[in-house]
Amino acid sequence: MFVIKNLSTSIDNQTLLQNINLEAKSGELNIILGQNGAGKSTLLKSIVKILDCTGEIYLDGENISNLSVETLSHKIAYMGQFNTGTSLSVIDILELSRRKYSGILLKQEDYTIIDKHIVEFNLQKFLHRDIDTLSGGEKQKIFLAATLIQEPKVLLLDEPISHLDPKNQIEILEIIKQKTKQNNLITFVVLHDLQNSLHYGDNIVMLKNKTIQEFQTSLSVDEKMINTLYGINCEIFWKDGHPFTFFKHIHQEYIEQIHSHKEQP
Amino acid sequence: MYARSLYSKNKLFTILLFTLIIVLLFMVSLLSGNNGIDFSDITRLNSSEDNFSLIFYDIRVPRTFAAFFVGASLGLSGTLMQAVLKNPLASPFTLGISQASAFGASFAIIILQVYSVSSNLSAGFMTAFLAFGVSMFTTLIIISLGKRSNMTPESLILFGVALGAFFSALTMFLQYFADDTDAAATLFWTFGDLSKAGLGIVGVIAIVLLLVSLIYFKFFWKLDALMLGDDHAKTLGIDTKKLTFRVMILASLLSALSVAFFGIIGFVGLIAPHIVRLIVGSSHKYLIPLSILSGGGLLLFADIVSRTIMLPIVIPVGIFTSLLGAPLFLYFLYKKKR
Repeated sequence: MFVIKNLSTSIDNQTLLQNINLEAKSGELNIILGQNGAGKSTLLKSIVKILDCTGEIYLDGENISNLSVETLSHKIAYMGQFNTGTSLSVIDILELSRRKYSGILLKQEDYTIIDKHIVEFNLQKFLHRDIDTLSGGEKQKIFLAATLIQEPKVLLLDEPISHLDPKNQIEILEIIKQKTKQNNLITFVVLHDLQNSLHYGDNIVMLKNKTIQEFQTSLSVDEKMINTLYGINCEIFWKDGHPFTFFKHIHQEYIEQIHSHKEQP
Repeated sequence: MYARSLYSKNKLFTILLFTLIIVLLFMVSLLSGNNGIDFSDITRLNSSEDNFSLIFYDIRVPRTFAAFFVGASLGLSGTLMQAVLKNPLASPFTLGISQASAFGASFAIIILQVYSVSSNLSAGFMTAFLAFGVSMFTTLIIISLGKRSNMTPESLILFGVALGAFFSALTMFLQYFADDTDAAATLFWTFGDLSKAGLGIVGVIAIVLLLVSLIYFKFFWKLDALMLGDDHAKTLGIDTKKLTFRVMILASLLSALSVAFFGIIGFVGLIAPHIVRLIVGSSHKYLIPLSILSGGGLLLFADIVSRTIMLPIVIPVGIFTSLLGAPLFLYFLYKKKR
């Protein structure tokens, strides 16, 4: 159980998040949606103490808001949106994820965990490559693996599929979902892909105007919520028990002249 | 399986190779003197004729060890600064720490008149003490200002450059009003020269170097994590601000100590890490031990050349490292861009 009470974040007297209250269960995948600048990344960064915030956070009944960065890192793993360039090798980066537990001499157990993830993520052929020479998608996979190797209780991922092709997107989301169930993780993922969010998420957190607009199970998200969240016109269709979203044009009047439609058979 | 032991074999081989080169440079350095590099010196040492063994043990041995340990200290200092400031331009020289030392020394010589009030030995110590004090003070200013105002590493470097210019100007100001002897003494002090101090000081520098390099075992992975960005490092359990502060203090201690006793030796701290990065990549697992070796090797080499290139004149090694360093640095920048 993961509980956030009255969390607010501000930087230089500018409020970025206000009065966030949230309860998430273990083994559930929570997707955070919202417009650009709504505070999605800020929420993740506040939880993991990259940003200072007020309020309280509880994990399984323990107040974790005042823990040191080091102790907190044993419970929460985070993957950011941007990673600065380095010329470390892939294996170096994977090994870094275990060093907060074992220091410079990794144990057999650490190597077993690393090896397991190398296989799961298909990283065998990259291991000794310089990470800077890899594509955006490959980097994302590697950093996700590095995050999971930390064996956290809470997993925070900021746009983990933004650089991936459709097949890799689905693969990664499936891994995230599976790991969440298997290891009983409390997972928060920031996504912009509404379709995938509704498909894979157990719950949807909608952030608007620095606070939570809705916190719903993904199957109970309706058109009105999406329309308010993004300020667009969206229709939801159902097929095989799954919701599918269709976005209407914003500028109907221009588009009609240049847009061709197939006649319904 | 896929994950390996701590060190890979071919990189251990690189470390061994570096060590061999250092041993070789040590021997050449011990054999070079007024006659250039002279291999007959080996037999002369055994025959115990004239004053040769005196020259050998009192002049060449301290100088050779000084070259290695000062170079190694500067190399490690540069590596640590580049790691925590995340900038390949960071070094004691570019951060203004060396220029601050020079100001400290000039202050001791010109304002406090240490050479006219006390013996040469204690005056030398007073000068070094002030040089050391001012440079450590400057480091504290740089770090605490950076910490308080959340300055980016780039602005810290620019601030360092500005501080360097400021201290150079203060030094020149003092020199302008000083008499000829004092002005010459301060000028001479700023030439980095390895004959300035004896084995005792070299021993102190070696011990400090050893102690600081011990942190390697606790820190190297943290410096690697820092390269992935502060955010990432924090989630790997690293208190980044504390780490930066501690590492900067240690790095400045290393360079301030060397500069205080041997004067300004530019570019070694900047270049040693770059040479290593080109060979083994940027993981601090290898970067730290190898830049200690490459810094030491670089200064040994520079010292041998500066002693033998214009015989019988011995050029202060600081002049030579800067002459050599600028084009070398340009070369590394060019190579890296590729």
